[in-house]
Amino acid sequence: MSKKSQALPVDTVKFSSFYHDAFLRLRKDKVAVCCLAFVILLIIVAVFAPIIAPYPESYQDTSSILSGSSSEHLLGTDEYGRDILSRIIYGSRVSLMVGVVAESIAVVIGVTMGALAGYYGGKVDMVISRIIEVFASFPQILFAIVIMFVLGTGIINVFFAIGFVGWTSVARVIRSQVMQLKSNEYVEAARASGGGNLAIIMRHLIPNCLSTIIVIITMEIPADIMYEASLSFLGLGVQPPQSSWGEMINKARTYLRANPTYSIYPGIALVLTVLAFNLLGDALRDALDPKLKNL
Amino acid sequence: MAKYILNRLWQTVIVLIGVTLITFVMINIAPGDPVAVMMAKKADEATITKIREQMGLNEPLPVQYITFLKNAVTGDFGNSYFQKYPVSTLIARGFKVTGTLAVGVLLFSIPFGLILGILAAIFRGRILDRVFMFISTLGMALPSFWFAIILQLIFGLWLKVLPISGVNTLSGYVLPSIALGLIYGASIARLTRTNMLEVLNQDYIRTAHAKGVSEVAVVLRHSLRNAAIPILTYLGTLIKNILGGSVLVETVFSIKGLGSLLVEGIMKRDIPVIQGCTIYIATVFVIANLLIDLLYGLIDPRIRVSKGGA
Amino acid sequence: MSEKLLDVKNLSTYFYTNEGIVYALDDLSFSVKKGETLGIVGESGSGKSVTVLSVMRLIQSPPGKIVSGQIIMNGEDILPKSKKEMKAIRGDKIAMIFQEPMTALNPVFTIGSQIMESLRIHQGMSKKQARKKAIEMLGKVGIPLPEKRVDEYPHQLSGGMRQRVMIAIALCCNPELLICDEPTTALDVTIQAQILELINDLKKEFNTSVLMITHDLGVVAQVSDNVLVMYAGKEMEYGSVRQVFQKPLHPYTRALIDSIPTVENDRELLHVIEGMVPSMSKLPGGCLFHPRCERCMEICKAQKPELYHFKDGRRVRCWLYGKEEDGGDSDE
Repeated sequence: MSKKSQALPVDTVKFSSFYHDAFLRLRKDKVAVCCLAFVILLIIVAVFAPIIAPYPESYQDTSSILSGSSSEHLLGTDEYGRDILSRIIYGSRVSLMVGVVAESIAVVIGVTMGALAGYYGGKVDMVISRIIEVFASFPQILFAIVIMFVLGTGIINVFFAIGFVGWTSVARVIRSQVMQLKSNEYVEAARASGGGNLAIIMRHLIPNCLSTIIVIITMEIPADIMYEASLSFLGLGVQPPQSSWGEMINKARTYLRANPTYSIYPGIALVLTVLAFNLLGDALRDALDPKLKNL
Repeated sequence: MAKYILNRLWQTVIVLIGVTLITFVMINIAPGDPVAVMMAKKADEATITKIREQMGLNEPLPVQYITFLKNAVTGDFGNSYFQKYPVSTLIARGFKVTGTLAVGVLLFSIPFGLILGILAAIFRGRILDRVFMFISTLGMALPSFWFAIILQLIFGLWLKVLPISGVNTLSGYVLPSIALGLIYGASIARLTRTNMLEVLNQDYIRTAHAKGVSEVAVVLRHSLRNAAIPILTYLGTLIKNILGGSVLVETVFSIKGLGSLLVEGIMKRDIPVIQGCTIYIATVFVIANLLIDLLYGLIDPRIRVSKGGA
Repeated sequence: MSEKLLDVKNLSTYFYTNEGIVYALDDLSFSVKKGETLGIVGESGSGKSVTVLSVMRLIQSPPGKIVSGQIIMNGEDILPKSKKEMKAIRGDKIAMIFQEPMTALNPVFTIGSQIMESLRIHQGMSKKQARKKAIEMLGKVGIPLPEKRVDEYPHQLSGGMRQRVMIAIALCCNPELLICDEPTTALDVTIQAQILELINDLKKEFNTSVLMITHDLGVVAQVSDNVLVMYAGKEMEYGSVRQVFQKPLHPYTRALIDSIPTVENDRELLHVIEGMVPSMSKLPGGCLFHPRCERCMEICKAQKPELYHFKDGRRVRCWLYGKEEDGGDSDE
């Protein structure tokens, strides 16, 4: 830990104690701890899916098609006889990957644009802000769909589409944070000691936005997961035989009367995941910086 | 006030130009030759080139863009490649459906959200608050398409009281409106609660109590008008979200609205439809925002009447 | 001797918080006669605001609670009254103005409508009548061109003007008691004097008694007939303004008066009362003031002094007094 503080500029030396305090506050919140446990559980399930899932993803048990819960298939089977529980488990991989990949793309673009707009102000800010407005003037889901049109379908393209659509929320927040921070004294000091603009942005401003970035990520990930589910629901996301919760719900529609629970279970998985991330995000925001309550 | 209006108008124009530009660019970098698609690859090279010539697709891109802009302004997006109608007709039809749905969603979500939020704020910290906020958090985590399916199951298949597909009668709009309405109502509830709490803590509320104003009047008259102002700004985002979320719900309930039109257009690579829908949806949102901002200026006396009195 | 308008007896208000019970008011008694102006003085945290909020029954509950006592207004105890009955009293029989005029008025209503609201609730006036009276009141509080300004919004007025509007709202229904909670603290000194003068004039015109809360002894001297000195939720001294200022009894009162910077003598160091007001949840044993008292004795640390009544009506809570020679009685 101490080596880290040495490498960072002087103003961020309080790193460890600030995050330590935040962590202690977080630990007290029982709901947050539950959510964190759930998320960790989800990650474990996703990573060790082949081991945890009772059946392989595309294994078709032709003896039981569209069956409800049974001792062999805890959550029933789909139209191909595939075990729903296993497919839900494998589906978690897609959801988590969306969270990681799409959000990383969004953060990289968003932080860059936001920091540039906030720091330089003036014309740069005007241009970037207009671009953000244009992007934000379109319902995100429809925008993602249109991007899919350009890129073509498939899960990798979904990541790009969602990331490309989601950077605006990140940019907006980073922009206002940077605008606030840049009037702080250490920026003056850094400039006085000869720091170039880029260095100031990278070494001083962005690290101080870290807590904001963490909160944003935790709040945007559930939205990204929802978008992926929606795109897959429309048939634009994962392609069969890969499973994704959204895709399962889509297929389940046709068999609503035959096996209603087919559509219910993947949805529950989705709701719980989004809920967990949402609550975790709220708790993180309260722990790291209650001033961000407006997010 | 006038300056405020002019500013907003100017912003709107810029954003709309940006939208048309991006749409145009995206259409043109998408893979596949639209004419080839349209002709379903049944024609030969020469015919395709001739048709491209006719449609003006061989002009340099900037020229195409200007033509496109000109047409967009007059609402002419050409004819759909696959359906035998002009795009504007299709959009009008779709808008009627989606528009009605949007109204239904607003009719459900706004009262739902306001009531939940106000009550949660008044009974802050008590059981009612916790219950309502739990409902709100849950509501915000529901996928609209999945919730729509659940509603279909309960009210359509099990209870058999409401139609689950099509909008031949007005009752066909009920379930879709609730499906989206509950979810957006949940965020309105949260926002309302936060704003109400902030307002209830203000000094002027204490003054109202000291004047002997009744509790009901304090909440409904004194607090709500102040708390409503930020909620109004959320209305713009709400409309945008409804336009977006309607795609999913329309699919579940087999309703032919704007969203479905766009998605279908994308699946079939029906370029005029894609262009038309995109521009139209963005315009609706931008104008809605403009109107809301103007409304905001009218409601908040601090903006409407400046210090000099005017 | 005019009769008592307000008679507060043994009022105790506690706040039940996560960190413990805050004894904001402990067994406080005082009275306000008809036509009198009583000033309640104390530092921040002395409980003076809690006192008047308790009288108005505006204490937020939870976490606060008026635990015991009587608040007798015109011979009737208002503490057991229902919410509905209190609503009728507030704004009509007892009115209050607050410290921050900038935020005390609702920004989305005109100042006229805010005055009219009181009139229509308590006196059942029609819109027309209420508007006429509102304009009249604005004139009385010294706002120029009231017919024009009645339709303006709070943000169009200055701080001093807003406070005048607050006074207009408070007095429009002719209350018997006007409570002023630090009405001039947020205003410039010159405006301060104007507002106090206004209150004094209107008090006579409307025949209203005034309860003036302040930390500023200068304000007390300007407008009050009698003064009550509070510390940490308890009464420390009471007397007429003349008596208390000429011969302060309690060391705290003396220290307060000494702390007023004067321009007369050669430059001395500003007199400061050592220490800080104790946190209401962790009060010191013995006399509440003893850790900061210049004349602290052994008994002060151990036992709480009781309130001692002098024959001339003065009261003081201090171990320095209370012997038979002073010619008075002990109380409680």
